[in-house]
Amino acid sequence: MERREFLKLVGVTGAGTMTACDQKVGPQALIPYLVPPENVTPGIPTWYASTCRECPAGCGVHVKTRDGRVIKLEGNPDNPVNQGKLCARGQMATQRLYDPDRLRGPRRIDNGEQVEVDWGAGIEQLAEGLRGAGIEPGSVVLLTGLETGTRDRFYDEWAAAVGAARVVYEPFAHEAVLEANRRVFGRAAVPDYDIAGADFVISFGADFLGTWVSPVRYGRAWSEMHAFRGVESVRPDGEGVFVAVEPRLSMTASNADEWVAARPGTEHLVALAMANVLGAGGPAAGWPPARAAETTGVDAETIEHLAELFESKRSLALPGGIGAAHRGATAAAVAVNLLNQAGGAVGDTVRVNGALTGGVPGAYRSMIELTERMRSGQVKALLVAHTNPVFSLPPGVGFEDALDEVPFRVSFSSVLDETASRCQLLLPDHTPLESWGDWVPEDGVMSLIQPAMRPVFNTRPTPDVMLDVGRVMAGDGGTPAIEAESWYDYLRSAWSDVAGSERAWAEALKAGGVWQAATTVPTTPAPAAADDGLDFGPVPFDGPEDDGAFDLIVQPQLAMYDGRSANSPTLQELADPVTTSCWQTWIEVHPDVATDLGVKDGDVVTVTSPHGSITAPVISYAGIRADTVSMPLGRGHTAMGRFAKGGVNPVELLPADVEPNGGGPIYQGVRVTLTPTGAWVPPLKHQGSDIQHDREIAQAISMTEALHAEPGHHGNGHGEPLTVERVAEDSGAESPYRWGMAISLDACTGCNACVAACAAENNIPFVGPERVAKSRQMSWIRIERFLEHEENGHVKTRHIPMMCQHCGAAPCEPVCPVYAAYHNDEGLNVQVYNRCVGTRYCSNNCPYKVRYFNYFTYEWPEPMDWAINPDVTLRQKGVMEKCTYCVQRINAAKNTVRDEDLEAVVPDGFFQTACQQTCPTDAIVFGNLKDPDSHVSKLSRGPLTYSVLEELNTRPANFYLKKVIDRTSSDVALKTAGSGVEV
Amino acid sequence: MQAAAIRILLALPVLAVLSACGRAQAEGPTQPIEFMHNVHVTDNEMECAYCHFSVDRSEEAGIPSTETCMGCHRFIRGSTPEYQEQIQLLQGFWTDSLPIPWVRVHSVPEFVQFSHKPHTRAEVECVECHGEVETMEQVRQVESLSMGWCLECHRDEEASDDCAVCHY
Repeated sequence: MERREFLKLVGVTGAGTMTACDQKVGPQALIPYLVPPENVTPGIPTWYASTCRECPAGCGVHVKTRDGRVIKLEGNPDNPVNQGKLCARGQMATQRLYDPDRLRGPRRIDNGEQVEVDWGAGIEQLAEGLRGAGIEPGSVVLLTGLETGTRDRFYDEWAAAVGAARVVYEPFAHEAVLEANRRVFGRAAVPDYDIAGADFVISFGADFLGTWVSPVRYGRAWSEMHAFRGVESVRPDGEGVFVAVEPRLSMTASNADEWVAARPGTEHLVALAMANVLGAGGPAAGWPPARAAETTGVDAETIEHLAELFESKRSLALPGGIGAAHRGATAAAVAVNLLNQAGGAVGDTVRVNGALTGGVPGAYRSMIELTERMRSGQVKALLVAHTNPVFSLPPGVGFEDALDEVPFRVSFSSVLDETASRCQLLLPDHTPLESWGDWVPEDGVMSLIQPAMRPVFNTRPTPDVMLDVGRVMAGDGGTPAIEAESWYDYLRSAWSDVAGSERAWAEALKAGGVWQAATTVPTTPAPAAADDGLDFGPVPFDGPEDDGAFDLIVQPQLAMYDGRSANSPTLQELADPVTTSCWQTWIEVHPDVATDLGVKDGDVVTVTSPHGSITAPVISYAGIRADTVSMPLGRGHTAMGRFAKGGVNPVELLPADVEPNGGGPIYQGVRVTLTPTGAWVPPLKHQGSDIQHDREIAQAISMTEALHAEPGHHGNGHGEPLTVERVAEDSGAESPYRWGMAISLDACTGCNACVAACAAENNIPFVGPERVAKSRQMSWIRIERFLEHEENGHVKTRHIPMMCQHCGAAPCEPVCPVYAAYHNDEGLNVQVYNRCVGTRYCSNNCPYKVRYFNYFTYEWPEPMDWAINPDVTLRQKGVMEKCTYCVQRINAAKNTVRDEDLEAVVPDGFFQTACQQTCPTDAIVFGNLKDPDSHVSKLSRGPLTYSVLEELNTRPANFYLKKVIDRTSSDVALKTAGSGVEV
Repeated sequence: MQAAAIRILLALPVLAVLSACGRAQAEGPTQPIEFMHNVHVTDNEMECAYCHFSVDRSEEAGIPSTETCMGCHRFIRGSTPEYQEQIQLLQGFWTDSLPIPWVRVHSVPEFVQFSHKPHTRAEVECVECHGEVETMEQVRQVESLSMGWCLECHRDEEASDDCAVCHY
């Protein structure tokens, strides 16, 4: 036999084997229902309205289930908090539900070993432990995270009934803001900040688009205020202006028109000086702009200009975030309140009625006190639910060591986190997607939480466990602490006023809750005493004063929040919006500092504060002051699960002391030194370069030009104005569709919600840090973020969501040797997985670099694979994949409209892609470009529209609307009144 | 001679593998209950969609719940000892609250997104793809369900032959 003939045969054999491998060989079972559940049709999703509990914001969700399993979350459009939108963490709530490292049932810890127990035995042991703890006041402590609504009342009631003291701890509890508002407005709450209603928003450190209080709600509001949607929709008083005062360009600040980089701990002095310009007395009197300029590093003219803007427009100043987590935090928040008062914002854009519930007064101080009581042996039993203080508190507090002095420790956590692993009895709660409950995110908004599926593991709702314990402790014939049959009954009766009848209850469940107008809350404003005992001077930082040390900023990270999301691999792999890094804890330094230290991205340095020392890789970032360094919170777990182990925990560097007035933690309060270790680790950045290299990928236009831009000023291909006829050439003549997308760079905040939504919808795998190091991450949509360096040394950020452009003249298509990449009649650039042989020519030829190759068959550990969307094929090793424009949703929509009429065309807005659906700022619009009246078609022909890499003439179906910049120069910002065009 | 032998040896796995690939079957799999489509459909004139209830509104045709079976078999105990034996098996599953582990006969590869609904809407008869199930004692796959077979009909009927209709 000839060699060539042999190879031919071997080749054929190989092909045969491969075909066979794609099909499941052997019998598969078809398991029908015994009794079919009502309203469930196999193959059709069933949706449940509920409430997201990934952070205290409490967004309304619709939970999509297939065959009894939760597969995706989408925002509930009727919920007033988020109006149909969700953030990245909300999208990934499924990975907390299906966390493979969740506690699978009740456990007792014997000599460090977990011993499985049944619920009866666990409850007996808990009852016995509580009896043993005695009845001294405070000998039993129930420590929970922030709760609102019925569960909060239940915990209070139960604690009172069994004689336990209740302590509430939340790492981001907004203590200073609450205290400042108590002093100024008479109510310790986060006011209803009307960002949407303001024309000028100035933030003093609050990361309100990423992690602060209610980011989805604020994101939507910010886009209403700020996103340029065309000349015809310019607001009566001109488009909004947003200024961020903070030492580091956070994701939120990166969306500001102006970044005012005050020294850490002096942000509030800018507020006071602005109030001073506006004629405010009190503490503001002592801080004229000139004096503030010396201390803050912000020049006096800037402060005066900001004050002028604040006075001339409908304005709002936001306290909080990193600007309110230092030793002067309450003073800082009061200063911002004083600015709001001086500028007339109070009662207008700052409303105490309708306040948000996401805060716990003095949370951190109460933990210090609890630790003291534990250490002195007063606490005999500690029950911990929904909070992880061993991870969140600085080690200097001594909470972990004090646990040794508590004889009986119980955890209700559904994961074996750092605190749970120090307990002796583990009675895991359901996750919120399996639970009954409610949540009150703000005055008048009562959202319901209902189980969307049966519990994945042998867990039990904590309130039910407490009711059982009450019954056991009451003994035969005794009266239990709370007389309720079950937690559900308790909840149901708590709702009897609002939704008493079965019908009303069913309606409320279907809607996701009940929304009422906020009732007026009596407040006792006492501004005269607001500044009692407050020091408004620059805030002291511990540590060496010399030039070799840096102020350390420790801030919540978008994907990790307070660390609760750390065992979600998709969130771990999500690119940080600021550095684009993932899976680890880095330290951001200014590029000049990196040069001075002789380090480059990934070089590991030892970070030393007076309180501790940790090592972390450097990432240089031009958006931070040269005297400041910054680290993200949330990573560096020592327990919790397999995905949570990466990184270090920067709380180890923090002081244990309390902000004296508000009782909050000191996240910004130390100076650190950096010592290179000589080691290097991959920086794990999703993006290679921070700058555009003059390629004009993310384009911008000044506000003045935007107001005068003529339709068709942009070229497309060869500079001709885009027409519907031109677009029609890119799809089949018979087809009524040319699908396309328009993305507003002026609305995009870089929050990555679309990335997570896409991952959930399209079964996008995570690849792990070792493969991110080789740039093999798979996100079909990514947020590219580019830094624009300005003459004053500042940088401005541009975010641009990048995914397959579904080009009309796609470079990927002609190079595919097997026609796996082809253009269909509807203008989609289709990738046929079963044709693909993995040459990767298409990816090499793609100028947008949006094709992703499966170097391995990536898998999710069971039961995380339960979240797989059955409507989207799982891709295997050797296959190229990319954005499909959610073709499964396109097909489903066509299928639905054809029920009525086989020839029907899908109307505009009939369905949304996953990224569009979740975008908090409505930056993404999807639809049919062939329909001249569709939203996307109109946008594609708009004056601010361009195509990325237009000169290549790839004729993309993705259109981008330029970011609108230069809004703060007074002639534009102050005069874009009326229609906005008479500037 | 030697070369020919090698050729046969190398070719054998191809044939073996191909024949295992969900092609038409001479005999269907053995089911946990010897359910007879012929008795139900031909003798008792039941509609396919009585049991396969979601065929006209979902991608899945629907396998009847045990409750559906028991709707009749609470009363119908079988006319022959063989039938009675099989119906007792069914009642056993019902009494023990166990689902019946039916063995799948028709399937397409995982990279195919097939939906029944558009086919019933286009008035494609069940038998066109599933064969004359009404005559079968034991259901077997009659058609190949290969892509070429799908496309033949799609082209004849002027349905879409775009890849993205089924592959995504």
